[in-house]
Amino acid sequence: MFGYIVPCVPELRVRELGLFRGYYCGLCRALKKRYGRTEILNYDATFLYMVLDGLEPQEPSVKFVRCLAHPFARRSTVQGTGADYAADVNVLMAWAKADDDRRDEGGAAASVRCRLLARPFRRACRRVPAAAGYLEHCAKELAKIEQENTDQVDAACHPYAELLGQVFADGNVLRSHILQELGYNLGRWVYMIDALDDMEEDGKAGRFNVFVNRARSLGQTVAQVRESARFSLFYTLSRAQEALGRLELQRNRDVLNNIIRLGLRQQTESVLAGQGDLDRVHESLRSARSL
Amino acid sequence: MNPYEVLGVSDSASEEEIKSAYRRLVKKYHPDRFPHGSPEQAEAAEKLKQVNAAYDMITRMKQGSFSGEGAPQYGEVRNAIQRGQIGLAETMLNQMQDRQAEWYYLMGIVLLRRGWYDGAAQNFRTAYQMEPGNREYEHALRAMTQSAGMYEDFGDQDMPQFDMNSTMCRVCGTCACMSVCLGSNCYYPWICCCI
Repeated sequence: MFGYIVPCVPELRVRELGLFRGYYCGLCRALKKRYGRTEILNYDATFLYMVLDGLEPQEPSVKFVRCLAHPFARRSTVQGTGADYAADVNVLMAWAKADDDRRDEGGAAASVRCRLLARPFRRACRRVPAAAGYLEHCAKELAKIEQENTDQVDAACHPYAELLGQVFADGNVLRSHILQELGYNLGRWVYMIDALDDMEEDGKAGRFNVFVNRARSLGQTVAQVRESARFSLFYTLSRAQEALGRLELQRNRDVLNNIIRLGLRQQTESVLAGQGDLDRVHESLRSARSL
Repeated sequence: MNPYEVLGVSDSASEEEIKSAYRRLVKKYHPDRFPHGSPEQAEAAEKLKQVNAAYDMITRMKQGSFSGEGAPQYGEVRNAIQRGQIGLAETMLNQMQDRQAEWYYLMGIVLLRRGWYDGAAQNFRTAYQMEPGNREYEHALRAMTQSAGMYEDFGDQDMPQFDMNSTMCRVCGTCACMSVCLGSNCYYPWICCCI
C-alpha cells in the first residue's frame, strides 16, 4: 500500500523536480539521523513532509550534502519543520508493511525484514504515540474486515483512510480538519488502488481482497470491476484536490498539485487499464535528472 | 445535543448501561446535594436538565417514535446533519422502519460526510429512482458525478472555464484572420457565433 503517491515527472518544471528531490533527500537525512536507516524511505512520507512544511510560515533551510547513495554529486536537502514527524510516520508505515507481508506471505525474508525494523518501530512508537495508536487501531479494524470477508468497498477502505486522516491532522484548529480530509481521501484512494492493482494476485493466492469478493458476488470479471470503480476513485481524488486547494500553503503548491492532479490520475489510469507497475514508476522517478 | 455524549456512553451502549449512567448522573447533579441558592446548585440544576433531556431523547429513539409517519422525523435528521451530528443522524435513520426516497437521500448525505462515497452515490441513486422528479436528489447525484468528471477532464487546470475561453479566443482569432484573407469565408461559423 505504499509508494503510490508520486508526481508525474514529465509535467514537473525543472525547479519543481529539484524541490521534490530536495524534500525526498531531506526526509532521507532525517531518517538517517533519527533512526540510522534509509532503505525504508518512501514517497508517501515525502508527500506528507511537503504538505506539513508547506504550511509553515518559516522558510526551510537547504543544505548541500554528499551521501553514500550519491557519493559523487552533492545533493540539496530541504530541512524543514515536518521532517522529523514525516520520518517517524515513515518508520511506522514501513513496519506496518513488513508486518503485513510477514503475515500474508510468511517466509524467512519477510520475518527478517520485520525483525530488522522492530527497534526503529519501538522508537517511533515512543516518539509519536498518537500515530502509533491509530496504526494499531487500524490494523485491528483491517483484521476484522478481513475476517468478515466483506465485499463492501466503503467499509474496507475506512480503517486505512481514517489512519491517514489522523496522521495528516496536526491539531491546529484552523486547518486540522482540512488535513484530515486530505489524508482520509488519499488513504481511501491508496487502499482502493492497491486492492485493484493486486486483484489477480490476491485472487490466485486466495488472500482477502474486497474487489475480488465484489467480482465474485456480482459475477463480474476483473476488468469490469476495475472499470466500475472508476467513478469512486476519481470522486475521491476530486475531494482530495478540493481539500488541498483549501489549505493555506506558503510554498510547494505546484508540486503537490502535480502529485494529486496528475501523478495520481496517471496511476489510476494505468491500474484501471490493468497495467499498474509501481516498480517502473519508481524507476522512472529515480532516473529523472534535474540539470 | 448528542444525547449519548451527555450521558457519557457510546452510541452502541445497551439499555442497561444507559439506565445506570443516567441514574449515576442524576445522583451526581441532584440539587439537594448542594447548598441552597449557591451557584453550584444552579449549575447542577442546569446539568440535570440536560441529562434528563438526553435520557428522554434516547428512550424516545429506542421506542421508535422517530420512525414511522412521514415528514417531522426527517426534519429532525436534517437538523442533526446541519449541526454536524452525523452519528446522531445515522442512529435516527437506522431507527426508521418506513424508508421513503427521502430516507435514502439523507442516508446518502450521512455517508457522503463520512467519506463513504460508493454508498452515498448508491443511496442518492435509489432516492432519485424512487422519486424521479425531485430536484434535490438529482442535484446531489449530479454534484458527485460532476466533481468526479471535473477531476477526470480538467484536473490539471486551475480554472477550466478560463482555459477553455482562451483556447476558444485563439481559434476565433485564427478564424477571424482567415475570414479576412478568404473574403469572409468563415470556416468555423459555430465558433464565430459564440463571440
